[in-house]
Amino acid sequence: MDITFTPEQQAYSRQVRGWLAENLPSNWTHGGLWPPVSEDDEQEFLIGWERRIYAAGYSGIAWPKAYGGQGRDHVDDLIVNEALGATSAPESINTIGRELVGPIILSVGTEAQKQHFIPRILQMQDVWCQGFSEPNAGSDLAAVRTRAERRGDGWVVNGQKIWTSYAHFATHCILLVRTNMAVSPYSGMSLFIVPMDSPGIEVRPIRHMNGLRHFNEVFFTDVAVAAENLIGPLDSGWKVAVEVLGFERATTRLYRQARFTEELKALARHAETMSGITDATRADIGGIAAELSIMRYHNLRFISRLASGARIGEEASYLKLMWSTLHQRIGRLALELLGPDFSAVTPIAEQFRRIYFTSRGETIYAGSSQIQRNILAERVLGLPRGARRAGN
Amino acid sequence: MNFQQSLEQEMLRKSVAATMERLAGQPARLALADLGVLGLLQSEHAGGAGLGFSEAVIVLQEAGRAGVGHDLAETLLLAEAFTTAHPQFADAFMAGKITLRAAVAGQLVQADGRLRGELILREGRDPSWIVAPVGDQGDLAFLPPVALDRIARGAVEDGAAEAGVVIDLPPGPQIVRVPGFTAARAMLDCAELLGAADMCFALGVDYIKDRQQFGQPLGANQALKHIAADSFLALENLRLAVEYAAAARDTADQAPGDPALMSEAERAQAVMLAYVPRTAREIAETAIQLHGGIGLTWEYRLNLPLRRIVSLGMRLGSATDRALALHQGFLVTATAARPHPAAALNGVHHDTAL
Repeated sequence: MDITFTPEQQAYSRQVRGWLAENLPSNWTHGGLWPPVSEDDEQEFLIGWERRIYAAGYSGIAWPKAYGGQGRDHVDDLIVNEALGATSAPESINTIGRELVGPIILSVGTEAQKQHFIPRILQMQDVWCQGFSEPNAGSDLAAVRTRAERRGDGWVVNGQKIWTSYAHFATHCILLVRTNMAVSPYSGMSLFIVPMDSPGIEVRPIRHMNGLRHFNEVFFTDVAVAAENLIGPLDSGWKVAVEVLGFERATTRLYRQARFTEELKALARHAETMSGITDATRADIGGIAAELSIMRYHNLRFISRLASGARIGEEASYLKLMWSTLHQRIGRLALELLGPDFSAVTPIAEQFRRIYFTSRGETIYAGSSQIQRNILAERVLGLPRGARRAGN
Repeated sequence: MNFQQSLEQEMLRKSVAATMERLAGQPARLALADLGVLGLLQSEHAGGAGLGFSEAVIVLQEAGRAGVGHDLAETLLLAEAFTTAHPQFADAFMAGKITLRAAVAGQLVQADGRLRGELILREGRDPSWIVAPVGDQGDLAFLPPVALDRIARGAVEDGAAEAGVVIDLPPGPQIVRVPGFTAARAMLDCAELLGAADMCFALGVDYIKDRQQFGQPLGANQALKHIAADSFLALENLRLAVEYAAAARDTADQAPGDPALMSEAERAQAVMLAYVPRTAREIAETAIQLHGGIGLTWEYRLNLPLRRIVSLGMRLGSATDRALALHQGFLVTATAARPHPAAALNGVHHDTAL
């Protein structure tokens, strides 16, 4: 067991933390812009920030150099992410590109797809959204009805997606569609790259309860998609997505642990300025702090396993279960602590209003907590599957 | 950074686990002496293996799983101190023939040339040496097996009655200084808690796979699946909290005087203590619920690890106090003048979670 970083890794950590200290804008505080700006201006700021991170060499840390990445290892990826989290640096608005599309293309994409799309994700030339969920296909993704039919050399897509984050400004969509009606629900689906400016796509916004325009409905009417935009083998979209996602569960947003810790520290500091803070509240904070530390130990364990070539399986589902629940506990604690000041026009109230309402979705999206528990129970603990019919 | 058990550590786990399976009623101490692990923490120049806490927690975890932790923690921790203080008993001790039991609570003071105080002891079936703290500077007295007047207390563990005793002895017992004994024993206790919780969890999952109700295994019901999944996460949290605390302690021990490594070890210990005792108990309680009625019985073995978990937890203090202690450390890092981020890397570590 070695829990220390090498001198080179320590130097790298100092380097990225130094860069962040010098480059994070002065109006970036408490994990947001203060004073607040319009959503459009914030979006523009975030895109600009991601380009600067890329230019400084802190983006695509573990992606191959040949496609614009840094070609470094997972430990360096962790180091950069912990630095980003510890400074509550802006979160990517291209997470679908970085955490879903990039890994899928790098894993099963064609050489041409890798050459074209991977650098464009890192440089923020393309911003991606994810067209998986449908009105009748949420947790049960095998019920996807949106279909692609062959027409000439290419495909034509018809159907509807929902909860599509970022679709209102994304340039591309990774779309899960049914390409074969004759086979079992899971094996008849394929993944396509669809440019969002294709004729026949209509995006309708759905406002999130956090007040932000976050996700959308997306309608596809006779949308033509080129044959070379198929990702991976035909009719194997589900298998590809599940395999890549299994690995990704352990590596996405490694900055979360450090970021949540900063949030809890802000609350702990704030609590001590209040009269009437009790030991019960302090013990609550201590309890969450313990689990945040353990979350870091999990990150170290998974990164170590990846570095030694181990396969990360469904057991990584517990990470999703853990971080989403912890974040909700932090949000609730803020609500309790701030009391009437929850609605104040202050950076901390603004920060925790957003965290509280946003975190309600974190146990729902990317596989709800209940789906994660099913995965753990059935695939890891080997409990019987019971009578469930996917795709119905 | 490679936070995984080494092949050697895996082999140690396997051989200890196999030894535990073959015990057939003999004390674990004897079997582990045969295996050569009683001197695991003893330095090499004293004839020990010179290994660290990362290995010791493996032994305690496996002993906890097998339900034979008993006095193993103090035996491993005090091997060097005891055999140095009592060289005439060294061979017997290393052969596992001497029982050493640390007091559950209480401490002694030296006054008027005598050693006095009140202790709470947990006693097994065989006579044992008593290890009692003297003062609060980390001194320990080894009291040979003697007949003492006991004030009986309620028993939590079967076969391990508790008793209060009043000590008032003339000079004689060896007093040795073992810095950090209390913290080290707390770590090994947590490792045993992990093993005991692991056993409860495994029994619970096996049970709901086998037990049929409503024409299907209980475990086909989502309500129970989700309980099992949450318990699994809790168990993995327990595992990493113990393994990390042990690794952090070993790392600090290997570089004495490094303040960053020392504080990281202390933080990891605080995290472990805030999380492990309460969560281990919750895992055991959940396993009983998964079992239904059979889990409540004296005959079924599930009550044994639960009793042990409750008993170990008692001497580790209240969960609230442990969480408060952690909050104190958390607040210190939260309110420290925020340094330049590049300076936040104090030496080797930057555990951002504490």
